[in-house]
Amino acid sequence: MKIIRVDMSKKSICVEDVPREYMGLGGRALTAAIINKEVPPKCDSLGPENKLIFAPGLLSGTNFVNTSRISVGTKSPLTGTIKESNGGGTIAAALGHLGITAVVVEGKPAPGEMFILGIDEKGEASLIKADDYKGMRTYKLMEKLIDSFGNKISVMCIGPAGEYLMKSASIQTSDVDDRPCRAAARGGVGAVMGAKGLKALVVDRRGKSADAIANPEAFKEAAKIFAQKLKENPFTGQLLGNFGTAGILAAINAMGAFPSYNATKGVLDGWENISGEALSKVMKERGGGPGHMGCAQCAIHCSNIFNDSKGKYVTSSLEYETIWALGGMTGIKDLDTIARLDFLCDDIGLDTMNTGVAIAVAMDAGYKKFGDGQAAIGMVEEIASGSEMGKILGDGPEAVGRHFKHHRIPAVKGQSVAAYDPRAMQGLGVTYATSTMGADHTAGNVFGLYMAKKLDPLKPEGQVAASRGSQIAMAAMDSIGLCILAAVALAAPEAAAALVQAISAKIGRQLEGSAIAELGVRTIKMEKEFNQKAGITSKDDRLPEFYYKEALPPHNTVFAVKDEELDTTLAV
Amino acid sequence: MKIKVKLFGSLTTVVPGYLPDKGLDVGLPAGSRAADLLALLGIPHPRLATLIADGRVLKPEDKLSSKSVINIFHVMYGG
Repeated sequence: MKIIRVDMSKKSICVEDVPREYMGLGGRALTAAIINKEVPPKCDSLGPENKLIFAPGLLSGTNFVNTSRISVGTKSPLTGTIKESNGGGTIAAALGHLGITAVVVEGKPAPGEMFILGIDEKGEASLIKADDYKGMRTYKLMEKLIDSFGNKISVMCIGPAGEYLMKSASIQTSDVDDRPCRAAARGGVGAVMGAKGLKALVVDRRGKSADAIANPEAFKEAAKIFAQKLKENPFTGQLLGNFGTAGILAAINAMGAFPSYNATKGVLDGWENISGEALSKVMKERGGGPGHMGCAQCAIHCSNIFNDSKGKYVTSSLEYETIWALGGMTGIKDLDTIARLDFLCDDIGLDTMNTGVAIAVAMDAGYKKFGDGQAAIGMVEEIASGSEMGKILGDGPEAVGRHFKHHRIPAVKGQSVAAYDPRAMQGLGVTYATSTMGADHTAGNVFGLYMAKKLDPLKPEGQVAASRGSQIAMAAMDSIGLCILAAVALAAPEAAAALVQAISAKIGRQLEGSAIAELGVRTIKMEKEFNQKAGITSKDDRLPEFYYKEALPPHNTVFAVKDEELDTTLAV
Repeated sequence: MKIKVKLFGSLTTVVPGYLPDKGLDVGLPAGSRAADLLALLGIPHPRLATLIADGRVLKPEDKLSSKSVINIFHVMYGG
């Protein structure tokens, strides 16, 4: 259990034991604690006082399935709030195998300086000049890093967008096939990494100094039970492996909640062309396919490989939210174009969601026509060029809306909404509005409650409580390092008990069943405290006005949860 | 009554010969409910199945209308 602190101003590295106040925390809970204690809330998010923290989850690096999730925490340049951007791939497991609880990057180098932070198989960290890698896109960078560091590495890196300090810049992370196709995408964390002068974090995967598990036998038994329950659930055991996350696209359209043409319609005409079923069929025909294992320790295999019509690789982990943002919102109904856009975003280091919605706002404002795939590709390349228009697009939907003086900007606190319209799924609107980090579906997604017939998505009643419960649970999952798709298994009481048992066995202290929710509440409280000190108020916890005024077809409903109810959501 | 049914995800393999583009035409007694359709089709894990018609999620006791297309999914979650 150690924290590696890297001061980019002094180019110094120190290693410390995890301080008592951070003991027992991992992932999002740990990044929240460090930021809340150590980062001045009103600091410039791209200045030296901000910190960038890489923290694997509590269970990352163990053999508990689906726990290779990493939390990237910082003050966001996009939202002005605290931010935890969660990513998959292999790096969380790699850090866990080295017994590294967090890497904290502080300070800021002189302008133009750029470095790689390498951590070898013994856990020794060093800063290496990265002049040769400046401006490099992520796929090429990954090849060069393998040339330099060998092929047993996990990488988190930025592309040109991060170097330009764009607010939609992601931090890309390598998957099990060494492709930088997974991302801690949201909140502009890539811009913070760029401001720190850090091109890449490179971690050796061969570490053998993981923290000891206090009760290995109990841990092993709990891990086995959880994995079994994951396999038995039709969603995690069958659907995700066969269709990926895009398997939900048909259902969201059937419910009239698929924001299309910049959130002016709830059903995309021709959605069948980009559904999970269509995607799966095309990928299989071309020699790629669903069922790809993207992250270490994954038992779900929701990832995929998308090839072109000649069987040549185009992109990997083409996900529901990406297909929506780059397809539904822009009116592009061609999987080849969407896959190309996804690849470009990964390669340039861009959040596909913020970028897709930025393009959609531009199209809605008349800059280009909805459905024009070549225009969309051109706009993403424009971002990579760093031109004036590229900078506007790369700063996301609010910047684009301001530029075109366009009112319909589907974003909260600057961050784009996700693929569930709040007028047809009111609970998602509650989450977008009140999450501690801007519109973020992963902060508290209640879509499953609608599918399970436990809540009417169109009525405001019950949505606040549902969002609250989900936000607390997700904060806990992000802290444990459990993939939120795997968290679906927790519906089975045996799986929930097994998760508590696994954590207890790891830390050597028997926890109550309520411990998981308590962890979530504690995390959200720290995040809220930071935001309040940063000047965020309840007035910021609102959806854009058009959601209250423009009815969404086919249900022709507006967002109807009252402000005073919204304000009770995270009164935890 | 005749009802048009569409199956999604892993459920497309439940009915032999199912063609996604065409869907199914299913005969049911008038007044049949959502649960009756699931039983007739032999949908596995019926408690985890969701029927959506006209944009609304149906409950097991909801009556079916021959004017609606019934979309059937297994319960899904957003990630």
